[in-house]
Amino acid sequence: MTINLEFPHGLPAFETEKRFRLTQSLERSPLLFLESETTPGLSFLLLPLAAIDPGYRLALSAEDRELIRNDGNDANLVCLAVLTAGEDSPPTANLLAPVVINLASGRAVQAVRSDRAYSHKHPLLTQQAPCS
Amino acid sequence: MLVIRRRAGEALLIGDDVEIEILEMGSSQVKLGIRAPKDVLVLRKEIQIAGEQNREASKQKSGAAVDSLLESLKKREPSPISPL
Repeated sequence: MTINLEFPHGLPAFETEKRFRLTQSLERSPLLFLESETTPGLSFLLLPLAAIDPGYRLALSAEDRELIRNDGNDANLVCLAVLTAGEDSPPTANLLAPVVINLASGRAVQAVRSDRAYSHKHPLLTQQAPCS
Repeated sequence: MLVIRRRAGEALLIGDDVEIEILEMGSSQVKLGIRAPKDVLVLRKEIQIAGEQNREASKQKSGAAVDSLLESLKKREPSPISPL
């Protein structure tokens, strides 16, 4: 499934990138792919926030709600975390700045939190003890 | 780190061109006014962190790396996920 999204302000460090395609495939579920419509090869891996931290408390400013044309009805919102999956380091999720999508408007924003409640390098895979 | 105590209405200078004024002080937030030349980038720190993280996250990911991540995710506790 693919939906087209407009990020009116782009993403931090990619402010000119305003149009993306969000794709979810059965084969690679639960991962989602956010691909730029204007810059070939520019893409991000994402996971639903609920899959990382079911108790995550979203902090969406009035400005961000206005940007994505959300009137406070959270039922239309989808919240995703951008993943960093390097070859040499364990994967992390950015919980400081979730991507918030309003399915009703097709608009999205990377909502950067001002508090320090969540890490921008949240470990995705908890280490398990090798033996007990 | 230089630490300076200031009250509302007071200001401080950074170099010759940047002035930061304390406009309001609340119980949990301070409202600042910043005067700086147009070519001086003024950024909330968390925006810079998010930008750096986005640059890192945007690096090309090989299919093998994505598959490896998927395998690791599947070994975790299952979560009901279908956002779209």
